[in-house]
Amino acid sequence: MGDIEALPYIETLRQIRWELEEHDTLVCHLTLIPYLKSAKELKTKPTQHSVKELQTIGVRPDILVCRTEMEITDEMRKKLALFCNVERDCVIQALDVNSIYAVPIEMQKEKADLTVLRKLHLSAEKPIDLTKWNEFLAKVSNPKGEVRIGLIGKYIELQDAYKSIHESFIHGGAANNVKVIVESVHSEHLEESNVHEALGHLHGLLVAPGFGNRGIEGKIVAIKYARENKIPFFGICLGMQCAVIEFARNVLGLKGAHSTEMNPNTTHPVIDMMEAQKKIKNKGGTMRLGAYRCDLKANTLAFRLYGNAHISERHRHRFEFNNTYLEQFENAGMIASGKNPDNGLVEVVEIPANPFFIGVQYHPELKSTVDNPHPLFVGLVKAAIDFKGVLKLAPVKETVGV
Amino acid sequence: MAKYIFVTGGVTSSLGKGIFAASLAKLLQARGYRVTIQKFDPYINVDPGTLNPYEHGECYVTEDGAETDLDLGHYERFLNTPTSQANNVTTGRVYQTVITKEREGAYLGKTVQVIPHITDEIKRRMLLLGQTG
Repeated sequence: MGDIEALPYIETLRQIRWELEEHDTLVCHLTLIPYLKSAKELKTKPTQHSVKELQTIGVRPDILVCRTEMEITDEMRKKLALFCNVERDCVIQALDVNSIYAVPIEMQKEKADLTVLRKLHLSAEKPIDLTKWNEFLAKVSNPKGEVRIGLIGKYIELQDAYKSIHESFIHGGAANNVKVIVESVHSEHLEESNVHEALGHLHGLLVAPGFGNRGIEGKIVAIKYARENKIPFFGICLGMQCAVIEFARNVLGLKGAHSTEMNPNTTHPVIDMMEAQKKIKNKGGTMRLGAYRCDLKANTLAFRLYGNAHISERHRHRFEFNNTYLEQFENAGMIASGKNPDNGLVEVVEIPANPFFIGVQYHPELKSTVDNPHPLFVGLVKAAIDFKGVLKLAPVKETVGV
Repeated sequence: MAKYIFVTGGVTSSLGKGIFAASLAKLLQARGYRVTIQKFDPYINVDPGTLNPYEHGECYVTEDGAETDLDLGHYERFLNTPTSQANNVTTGRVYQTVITKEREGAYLGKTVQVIPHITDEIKRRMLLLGQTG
């Protein structure tokens, strides 16, 4: 709202409300009720203004969802309803909470579901079943302890850049009854001389997906440290490719081994562009994208974690493991435990000599849900517990919004 | 019979439209309703695939290979149901469709305008998802 870019959407919304039956559409308007420290008061004026603005383009919100850091009084609810043209029970408070997973419960307390159903003329007879959700929430809010896992990437300043990974750790932690503290480590700042200091205290490492040359050498240093010290290691996409490069350089002794993404003239292109990608010029929507099948080798870590030989995972990449080196890798102790059954593309690598060292070309973080925590994240957290035990909970609480 | 709930945001961005939509959907799902989400992004990029993570956070890839907004990730994590290309619409994609149709001569010589051509295309995408779920 408020941007010139949003206008066609609001106009469409205005039209569609005329075209559909009266009780088939509903508009929920999300606003902020800021707290002014100096006045020690919550302020409703910005909400009134934003509703007025919406009304001038012909859309009247039915429900107001008010983000706030403090409880809204009945008095304020009345005032908001009156000034914003909504019914009294259509003012819904969205209080800041500790976890995004608590938001549905907060909304339930505010009877948001019942109000919505009533306004849409839908039945609310069926009782609500949130048993599984509440079980998950109980585990998230009462962990037995914590583990610290390093997330090594180049976009760590921005939490949204690895959103799905952070959420997958919450799911994987709950499955193990622990809280996972994700320590972000900037790959550009890592080198041989400081790696022990930076990573020595961690229970496990995840090397993040990414593109381009920046921070690559730091990721490789971290992987070497994890491999040599048998720290549980999990590499995703570029993180897996870095594990391959590290192994090529430091175990196979292939000096200068690299990905042709970073060094097109490398003497040992252990990661190379997929054949199908070489003719592509456009950047948008042209990577190997979406779900592809993968077959897992029996008696491997991947197979044990998934409990299944045939899996499907989502992808986003242009480069792949160069299969001409595969035999050399497998003879030296890094195996390809998962491959695409159609073209032999290496999807999973692992080092069986380590308790937990696995890299995947795909993005498992995109498929972890509250109901189905991803087995690789559950497995990494478990390996982290086995590696160093569980720490006592630190008494810090963060607050996140709706 | 599909019903449509629209979530708009005011005052400031980052209020959590995505989390609110996913939470409401979760409650409706827990009452036995079938729900899906559609995220409208008003930028001209056709999809967020070419956006730097600093600009727009993670790019969330769906089963069918669409590069989409990370709010779809919250939706899948909350609802445990997969989304697809149709669940994320950008202004770029809407204009791309309209301009392609114009080049094909589909508008029969009419002047192509934001209202009704762009709004009709947005509407078509809203209603289509309502039919297919």
